[in-house]
Amino acid sequence: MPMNKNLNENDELFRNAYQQFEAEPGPDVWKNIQAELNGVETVYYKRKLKRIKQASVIIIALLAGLNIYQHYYNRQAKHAISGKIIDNVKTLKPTTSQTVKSPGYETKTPVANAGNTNENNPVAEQVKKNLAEVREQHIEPVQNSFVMAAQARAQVPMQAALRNRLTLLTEKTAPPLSYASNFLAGQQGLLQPLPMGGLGKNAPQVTVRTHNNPWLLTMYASTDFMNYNLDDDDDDNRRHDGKDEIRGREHHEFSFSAGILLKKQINKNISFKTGLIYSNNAIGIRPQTLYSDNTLGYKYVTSSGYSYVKPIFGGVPARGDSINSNMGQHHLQYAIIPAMIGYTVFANRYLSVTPGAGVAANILLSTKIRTEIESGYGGGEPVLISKLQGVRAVYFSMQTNVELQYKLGKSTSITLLPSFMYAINSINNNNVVKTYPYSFGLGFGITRRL
Amino acid sequence: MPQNYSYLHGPNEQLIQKCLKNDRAAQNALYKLYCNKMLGVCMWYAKSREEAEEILQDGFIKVFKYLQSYSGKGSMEGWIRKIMVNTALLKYKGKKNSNLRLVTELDEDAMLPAKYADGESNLAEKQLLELVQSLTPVYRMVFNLFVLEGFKHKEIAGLLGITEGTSKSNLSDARAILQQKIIGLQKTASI
Repeated sequence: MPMNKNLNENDELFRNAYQQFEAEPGPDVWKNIQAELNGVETVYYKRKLKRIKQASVIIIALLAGLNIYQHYYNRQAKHAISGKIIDNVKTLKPTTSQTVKSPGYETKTPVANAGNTNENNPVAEQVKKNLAEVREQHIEPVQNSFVMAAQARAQVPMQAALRNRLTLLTEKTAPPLSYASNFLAGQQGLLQPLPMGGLGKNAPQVTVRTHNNPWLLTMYASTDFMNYNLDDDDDDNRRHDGKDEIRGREHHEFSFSAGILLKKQINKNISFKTGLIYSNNAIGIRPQTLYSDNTLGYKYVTSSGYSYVKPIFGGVPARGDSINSNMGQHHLQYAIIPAMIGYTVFANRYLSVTPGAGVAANILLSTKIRTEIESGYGGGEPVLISKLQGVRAVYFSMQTNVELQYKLGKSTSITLLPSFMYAINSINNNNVVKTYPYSFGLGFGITRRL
Repeated sequence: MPQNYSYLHGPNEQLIQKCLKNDRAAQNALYKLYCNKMLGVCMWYAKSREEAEEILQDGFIKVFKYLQSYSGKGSMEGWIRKIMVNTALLKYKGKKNSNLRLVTELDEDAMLPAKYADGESNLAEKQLLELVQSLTPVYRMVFNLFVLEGFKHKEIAGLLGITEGTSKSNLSDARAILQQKIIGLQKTASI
């Protein structure tokens, strides 16, 4: 028919014009795009920065808490020891040996000479006086000591003053004062054993054994063998997107974690450990049929959370419509902040074995799924899901590991770190299943003494 | 059937990689490579040049945002064109409840715009574009999706949220209006 012929000719006319037509946009278009892109990036980086800030605050709070605790503990121990010495001097009871423990040092007290008394021992009197003075000024430089007057006037730091005092006391005879000095020396990290053999004929040999308690920094990377337990409230696990179906279509792939661990030795055996770890969990997702339960799109459900996808040229789906997806790759990235207590069960000159256990906060950094869905054009259309719904921003996990350290030098060790973690609460709060991930990891790293 | 854009050539891999790293210069190069063609596409879906530039702007932001999801299988131009059309559709849907004119409303200005009469027998691309732009938004959308993009009525119905029958009816009306306008233009040109 002529009418139809005209219509077809017109269609062809418009199609040709559509394919040929070009127009140059104004310069403002690119400027606006650029401004918008800068805005997008700012938001993106701000979001990332916020997470990093949160993680940093938690670490700083943990470290500050530990330092405050140690400072308090040390002060208590210091007063206790000073008081004990004075009591010993007062009573001058014959004692054999006392071991005093506090973080970072262990000291054996010298044995007081039996039979001596306060009244008839001028050295003891002098020691008592000096000890009181030391107790009052145990943090600040020793400025008023009778043996260090010259150095004090020159603002000599405490460590140097103490070292000089120790030298002097080694030459003289004052066992209890030496003890106090050793204590302070231990506080200041003076590690040399201080033989006190020259303190008189009958003075006992004093052995001072100190453990400095530096921070140990371990940089490590670990291969993680991830898995999870799924839970839902529905007994019918054969239903669509039930836990069995989700488990069936997902399989864990190569996952890894890497980061830094900071360890502080609290005493000879016990240590505290924290750090910042980046973890990347990869899950492969097999092809599946997605269904629409509203007009937002087709629901893509994973063990972590869900999202809605829609092909660019797909129409608004009706409830119950379906679409097929191809293989997908799901990545979950977390920043992990552990707080663990370690106990050294074995240590010799080269090797130490320290099992540890604790908890960790797992802060979600990003969730990504890459897959393909049926396109309006009939082919596969790539889809990137960058935000999953129903995933918790933070979940907590139980952490255990065994730290095997082999000493390479004075301050460097290599560390083998087998570990296990299990989620205490589910990683999702509004998904069809509740997911409790667990993993076995085998890490390897380098430890440096700070 | 949908149009095949495989004849179109894409940018090189290096440029795309740089764009993925948010290299502004590379993004600008990609923009310059396609902005003219894409503004041409957008103008068929917009009522005015300003509206087309808005669509172009939103579309390119999406291009850079979702560039990582471009698999490289099809042509880059085809992929960007899809995004532009989709952006135009979203814009149309956003305006649907505000200033959309009635489907049955006939455009009084549709008849023979004298400014297009340039004495040539063949209608220029710009004239055809302005004829399409003069259609009501829903007529324009249905006409473009069916004639220019090659969608079926069922797909158009899904895209625009209308029934298949309405899509057919709107296409018929749009074609009739355009044919009248073309005849009018040809008459004017022959005077």
